[in-house]
Amino acid sequence: MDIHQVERLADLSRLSLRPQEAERMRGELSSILSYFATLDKADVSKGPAPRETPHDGVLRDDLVRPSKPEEILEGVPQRKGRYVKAPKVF
Amino acid sequence: MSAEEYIWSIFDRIERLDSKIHAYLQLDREGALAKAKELDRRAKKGERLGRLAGLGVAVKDNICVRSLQATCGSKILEGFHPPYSATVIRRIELEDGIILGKANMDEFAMGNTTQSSAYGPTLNPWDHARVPGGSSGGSAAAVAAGMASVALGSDTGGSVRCPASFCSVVGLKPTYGRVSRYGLIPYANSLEQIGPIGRDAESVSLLFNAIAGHDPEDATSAREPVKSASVGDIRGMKVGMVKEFFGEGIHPKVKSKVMDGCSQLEALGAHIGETSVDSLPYSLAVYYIIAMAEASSNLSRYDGVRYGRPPATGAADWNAAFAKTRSEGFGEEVKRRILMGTFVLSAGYYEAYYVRAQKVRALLTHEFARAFKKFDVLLGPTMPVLPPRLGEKVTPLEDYLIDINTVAANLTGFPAISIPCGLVERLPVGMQLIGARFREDLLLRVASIFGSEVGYRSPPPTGAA
Repeated sequence: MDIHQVERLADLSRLSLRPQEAERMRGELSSILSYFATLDKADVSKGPAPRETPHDGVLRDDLVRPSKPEEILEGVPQRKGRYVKAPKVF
Repeated sequence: MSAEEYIWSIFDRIERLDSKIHAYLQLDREGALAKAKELDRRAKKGERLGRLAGLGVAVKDNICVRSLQATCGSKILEGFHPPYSATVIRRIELEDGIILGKANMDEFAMGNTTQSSAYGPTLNPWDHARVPGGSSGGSAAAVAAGMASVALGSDTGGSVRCPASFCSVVGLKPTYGRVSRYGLIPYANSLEQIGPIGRDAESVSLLFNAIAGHDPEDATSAREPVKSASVGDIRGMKVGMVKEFFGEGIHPKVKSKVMDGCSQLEALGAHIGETSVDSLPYSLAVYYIIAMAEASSNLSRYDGVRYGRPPATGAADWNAAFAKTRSEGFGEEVKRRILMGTFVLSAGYYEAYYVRAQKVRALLTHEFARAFKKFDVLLGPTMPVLPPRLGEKVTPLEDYLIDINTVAANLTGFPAISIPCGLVERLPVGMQLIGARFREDLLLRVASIFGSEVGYRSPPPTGAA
């Protein structure tokens, strides 16, 4: 993994890394990746098909239920009345 | 002793010990004592009390308790007060358990030492120079040091069993779907379960039975009825020692301690055999690929706008502001896993890593299911090493490697328990048992009999008495 890849991943993940942090991550991620490569030796040809979860999802009806907008708004770090303040888009 | 006196005695102990051990991030003394007084009043009136009446419960900080802060051991959730309680908390309260406070943990449950908590490490009550294990290190340390009757942890790759092993307590990772995850702040949804921790099998059983069972709020919750804790002996029980669990890298004295435990089970009437699960050596790579992938997606929600840490100021635009908030709010291990998870899910690498990992996961599940046709439970050491020293310098990969025996139960969904098995160099060793789906009752039966017959119940650790 090269430094450009690390920077691209950081960008995709909305993380900003200082140059020396990015360089350290590059080394660490590379060694983790080479460990992951041990999976190349696994013979998956005989195995069953993977499932997303061990249980079949149980769907419930999409019903309107009472919620707590006031309480939820109380947890917003920055707001103006009932509006949530967010960083500038432009 | 009244409930109030008992809860007072726990808080007394916390006061004396926790400035050193740091098992708790937050205490709810007022709430706990009010609940204890209420129980005493109801008992006096002859009312029937719940199954957990009077027990003081420590709750890992990634489980929501309404009105108590939930930080997940991270700066990014500092100041977050969930507007609701997790299903497990509502069930504990319904059974008259008493919530004592929130327990320390590795940041977002990513770790096996509790050192990645943004609020400082927890010390092992057995040896203050060592880690308690993780990521539910606060929960296990609180129980081991008598600062809680029982505790809740969460287990994504061993996070209940590892600290249970390192602190000499019992820790259960239930079958996937057995305990509701509603109100558990997610790290890797397809792997994690909330699990009970206690000083003995009986208290773990009590807490497990209170929290287990179907919950319509969790779509992965199982409808299968909960098996009541089975009494009886283990005569004739078929126990399979898994060769791979005793493999490369295991501390020789840990190995012989767990072999001794196995002989003791044999003396109690169990039939011991040996078996192999061929894909086990791949389980660690499979686990980290899947856990990191799920983490990168789960943790994308933290932006500082809706809850937790306020957004960073001074950034040029929307994306830069998020990046700044997240970079300041997340610790190193969390960033590492987000980056790695983003990588294994990205176009061009997805097939080679994520899809391949899912295939090996299915193979591993198949092999375990086959082993359960021959054996009732499978056995090995919970952790291949003794509790590491605090601050010991290891690379991230070296740190991941000690999860080698615990991750398989999460990948396959099978229930697993860590039972204290004795001491090596005055440090705890845990024995892990894995059971077939929904057979927590068998694991708890072995733990109970092993505990009462072999007497693993050690005295409280030095300095904590």
